[in-house]
Amino acid sequence: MTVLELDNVSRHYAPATGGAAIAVLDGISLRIERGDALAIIGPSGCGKSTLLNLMGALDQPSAGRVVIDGYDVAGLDDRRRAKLRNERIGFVFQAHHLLPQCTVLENVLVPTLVRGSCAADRARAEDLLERIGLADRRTHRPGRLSGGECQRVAVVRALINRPALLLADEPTGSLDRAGATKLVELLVELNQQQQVALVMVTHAVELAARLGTVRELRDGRLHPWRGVP
Amino acid sequence: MTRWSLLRASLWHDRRTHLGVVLGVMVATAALVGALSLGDSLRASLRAVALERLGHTTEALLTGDRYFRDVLADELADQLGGEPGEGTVAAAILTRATAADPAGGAPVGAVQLLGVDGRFWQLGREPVALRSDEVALNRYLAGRLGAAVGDVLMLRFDKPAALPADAVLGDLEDRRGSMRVRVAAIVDDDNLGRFGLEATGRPVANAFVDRSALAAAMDQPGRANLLLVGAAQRSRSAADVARLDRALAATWRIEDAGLSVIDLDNGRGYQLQSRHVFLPAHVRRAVERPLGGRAVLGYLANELTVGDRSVPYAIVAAMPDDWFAHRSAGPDGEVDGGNDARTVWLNDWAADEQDLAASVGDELTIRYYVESADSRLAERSASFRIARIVPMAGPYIDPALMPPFPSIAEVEHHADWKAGVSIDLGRIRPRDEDYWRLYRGSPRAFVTLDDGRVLWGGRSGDSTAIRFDATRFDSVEDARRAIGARLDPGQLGWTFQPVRRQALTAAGQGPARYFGGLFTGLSLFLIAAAVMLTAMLFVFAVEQRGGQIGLLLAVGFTARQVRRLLIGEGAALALLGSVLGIAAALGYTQLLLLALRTVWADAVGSTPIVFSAGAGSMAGGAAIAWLASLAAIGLSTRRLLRFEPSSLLRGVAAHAGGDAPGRARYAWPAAALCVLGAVALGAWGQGASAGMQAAGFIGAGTLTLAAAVLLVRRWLARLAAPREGGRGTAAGAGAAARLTWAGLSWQAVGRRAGRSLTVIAVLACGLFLTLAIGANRQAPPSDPLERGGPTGGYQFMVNLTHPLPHRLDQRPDGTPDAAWAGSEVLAMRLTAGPQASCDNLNRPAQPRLAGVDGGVLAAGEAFGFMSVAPGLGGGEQPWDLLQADLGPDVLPAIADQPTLLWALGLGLGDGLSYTDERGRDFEVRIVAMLEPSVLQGTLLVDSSRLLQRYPSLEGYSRLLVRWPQADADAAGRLITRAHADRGPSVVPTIELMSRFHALENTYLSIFLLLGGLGVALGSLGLGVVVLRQVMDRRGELALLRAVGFSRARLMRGLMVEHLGLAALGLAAGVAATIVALVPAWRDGLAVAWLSLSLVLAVVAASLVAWIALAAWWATRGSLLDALRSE
Repeated sequence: MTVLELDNVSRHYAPATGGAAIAVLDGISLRIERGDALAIIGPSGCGKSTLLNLMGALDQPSAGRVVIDGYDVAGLDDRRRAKLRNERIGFVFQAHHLLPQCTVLENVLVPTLVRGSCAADRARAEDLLERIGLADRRTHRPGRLSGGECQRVAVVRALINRPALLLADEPTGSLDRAGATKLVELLVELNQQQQVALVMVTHAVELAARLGTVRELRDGRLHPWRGVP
Repeated sequence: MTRWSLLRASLWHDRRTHLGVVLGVMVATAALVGALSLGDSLRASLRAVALERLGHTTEALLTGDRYFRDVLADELADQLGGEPGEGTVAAAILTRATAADPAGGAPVGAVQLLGVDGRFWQLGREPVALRSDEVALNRYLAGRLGAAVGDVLMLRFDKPAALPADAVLGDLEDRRGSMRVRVAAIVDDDNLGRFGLEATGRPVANAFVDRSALAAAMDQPGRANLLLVGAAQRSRSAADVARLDRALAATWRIEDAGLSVIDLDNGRGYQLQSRHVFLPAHVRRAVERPLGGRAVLGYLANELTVGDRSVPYAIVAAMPDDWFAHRSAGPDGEVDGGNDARTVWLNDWAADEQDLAASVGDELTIRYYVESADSRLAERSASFRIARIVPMAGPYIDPALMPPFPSIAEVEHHADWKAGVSIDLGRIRPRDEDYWRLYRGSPRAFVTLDDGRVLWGGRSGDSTAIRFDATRFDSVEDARRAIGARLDPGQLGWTFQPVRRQALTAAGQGPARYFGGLFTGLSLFLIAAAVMLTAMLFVFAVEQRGGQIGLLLAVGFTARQVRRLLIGEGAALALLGSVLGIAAALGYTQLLLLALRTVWADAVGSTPIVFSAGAGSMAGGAAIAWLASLAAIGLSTRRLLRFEPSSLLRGVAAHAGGDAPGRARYAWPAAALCVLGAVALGAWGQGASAGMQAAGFIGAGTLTLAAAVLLVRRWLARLAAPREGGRGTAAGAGAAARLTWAGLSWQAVGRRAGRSLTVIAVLACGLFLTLAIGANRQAPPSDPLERGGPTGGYQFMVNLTHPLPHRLDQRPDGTPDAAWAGSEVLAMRLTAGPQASCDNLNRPAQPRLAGVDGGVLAAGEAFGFMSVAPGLGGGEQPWDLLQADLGPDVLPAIADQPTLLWALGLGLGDGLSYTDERGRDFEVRIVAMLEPSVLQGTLLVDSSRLLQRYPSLEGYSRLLVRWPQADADAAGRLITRAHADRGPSVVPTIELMSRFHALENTYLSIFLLLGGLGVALGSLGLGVVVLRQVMDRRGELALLRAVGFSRARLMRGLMVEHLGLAALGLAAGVAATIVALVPAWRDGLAVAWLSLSLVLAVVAASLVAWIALAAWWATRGSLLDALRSE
């Protein structure tokens, strides 16, 4: 089942001073099936995050189509795009963006507030926290967790609504080597167990290799990666 | 986990940041609720003063100089029947007096002297027992006299006269009564100490004596002139007041109105006459024809002359035609056809050889005094043909035809006559004394009633008696009853006034009604600054949470849902701030009240202000502040949610700023239009009415501010925009070469254009209002002799407790007084009633009327006019409008602007209803408006027309004096010395204008203070901007530190950057002020440059202080941590 399809997607930016538009992404086509795991690598500033934002309906392409779980994003208004993000997509950012005023458990349940949280959501949240070994920290606030622990909570948050697609933008960027490895292992494990499609953007090649497929973003296009870690 | 728990958690987590928001709302709420509570307090205070002033009194009837039987109070109480809830009916005497220490010291004038008994004190809290030689003083009078219990005082007052003192034949001498009394008590304000029937904002000097003792001293034993009705529990309705009037009509007797019926001797019938000499025309109309009576008129002639022979001081009777017709047949039966017009019948005593040696056919000249139009005494003469010589017998001996002239009718000898005119006693001959002894006031001549009325009818009436045939009534009592049945107290203007209801209405309808709104207006800038600061702080806090907002959007919240969360937070903060603001408002209101009692006392006069905050004001004010804050928060947060979630997650929102240059493209033309509009509005308002001037002033200033903001916005947008092509394409090398530390600073300003613009706008607006209002402070005129100015060219205003019956520049006999040669005097007759001046926070329903001679004012070109009612003529001389014919029951009036607009809420063409002495309703209509002047508080009407309505008005109780000599104070000394017993108060007109301006300037001071607070809040906002800017740029500043910039240099840079913003705000405010004030300067406004400079300096110093503090705070500590977090 196709979870995500990019059809000749481009993204241009017009400079403030005028002149020709700068093409960050140029004619990218891609198809991700349920349970796939894709890593996208590339040098800093090549447009990896831009690509991920398009995949997650956080941004609009300048050309081409983005279809998420059968829905063409271009045809959706703000409300339905938000609903799509809430129900079909989970995000993990480089900065965990945990709400400092909420506990671990509350942070995990934030996406459920859109439609109203229920007991089943709470049970799932606790179950997921158990799985990642943070069940005993559920009443703690982010200020009392390490960076790695915060990121793991962010991963659980991303999964609370059983998304079809999990997008991770440099999720290990703020972690040390050991923490980064553990996080990627978690993502891969969840990808396999939950059959949630995983797309991870990273510049850490050795971590990208742990995913099934690696693509390199270069000159606005995706290329197969032939490099070695 | 629910949205509500997320909201609570967010509020608690960022509580330090949110504290500023809460404080901002609290300040706005406190200012608004405080202003409204001030209005509540003032209204409640006025109401309390009104109720305290009257005690339990609900209705009152004051009959002035017409004293009724004091037992009328008992009879009225019996008539009312003593229903439950009905209280007291008390008779009292109310008159004006002076009080002085008999051992010396200046007398205190304008004392309200009350003759009271035990029932009066039932209307208060507790009785005050007074013996016949005792007095009780209220605290104000005791303070002015420095008197204590046991001291002896001399009270002087006018005795009621049969005729007004300034009427011809009025008794001028011996009108003054006095009482030597000992102070027995000092009466508290809550025990009728402040008693008075008028709602005045000024303190009242009250003295209370035993009513019987006062009545005796006034030669009015057993009489009173004031009825007070009190109900313990409720005010009466209009229907109940009508019931009181009906009860009075059923109870009174004609004797209460000074009327009496006598039995004419020898079966000649009955005669209705008045102790006030003349019968009012409406009494005559009500009685004469319906009861078959005939009016007669008796008058005192100075002289009867035939040829070169004369008889002094003779009574002449004007008789109805049928009197002559009945007697036209002579003793021998001849009928001579009666008395034609301009013929006279002379008695044979006067026709005798020893007197006139007159015969039928001779011409008899009668000389007599009348009151001229300018209230001077004038001797006139009229000639008649002697048609008959009548014998001294039968109907021709009729002493009753002489009216009871005061000090004439009752004396034994001619030589003891005391008329109001000079009598040459040397002309009284023994023969005259013989006549008086034999025939008393029997007329020596008889003319027709028509002729008599033409010659001698005056403001007091046109007949002195009405005669009835003996067959008409069975007895004197029968006649009294019949006449009483034809008369109604209302015809004399005797109707009960619902004084309690009127007092409460006046308290609620006057300036106090909009005092809360006035203070809200004065505080508007403070409130707006607080709301703006609240929104700014909230947005700053939210901007720091851009990542959170981005996350919520990323996980599926819609922009609307996120906005609701943010507004929910803002609403909760604003609610907390509003609630705290109510508590703060209580303290703020107390502070304002303290200021009103002390430094701002001129704004409320002597009214004691007590705190009273209505639940409506508190809840309403808090709700409005809450809504305003919420609206500001809602508008401000809209901008944030325009960013894409990805931008917010990257932290772009916290660092974004500056408008796209395109949006500021039209700044120059728009600014130019605004400037042109400002100039046009200023020109439009120049020389216009006050309202148009104010509109032009505000409009010009606002447009100038708008132009300044547009231009600054344009400049900020240019700062924020990256360097363009053309010259800018040398950006690589050229831009780097032009890069400076100052340039970096200004670019930072441009990145926060919205924030910067808000601060500049707040500062500019606040400064404009503060400076512009401050520039409008009024100063008294420097030259009181300027005729067109507020003093009218008069140097003094003289108020007299006991009116002067003649003009100041005349002697009592009407001859000019040489001491006043060259002076100009405007004499005014004043009716009773409160002043409608700005220091009276009550709105009087019937303010005092001042009768003036418009011709004197016109000749002196006195005072300046602001506007004249159209279509009435008036031409070059608006004072002529006082004579305009607007209908039989309309009296034209002129007053100055503060009286009309602020005290009474009236404009041109508006009117007020009055009831004259005869119970007739009439309208006083405004026909012209003067510029602010010393005439504030009264409505000016024509003096002679006023006397037609109030014929008992005696003398002049207010004078304006222009003194030609160099020593202006000599006039004051002359008045004080010559008229000390009249209780004069001499006040320079410049001092009066200073008092009026003090009131106005007090309001300006209040505005200056509150506006200054607003500007201070604005400068605090700039401090917050500095802090937030620096926190946003911590990484940048840390980098600069890392590359070698010292902390001091960074601080200087921040100071320069933000002082520049402050300077822009100040410059815009000053520019707007100058543009707005130019027209006023051209009109002669004197600007208090020193005060304005001081204000500007204080504001600038405040700004520097806040910016320096913020820059120091922001750059302290290690900035290198910021580098790491970057």
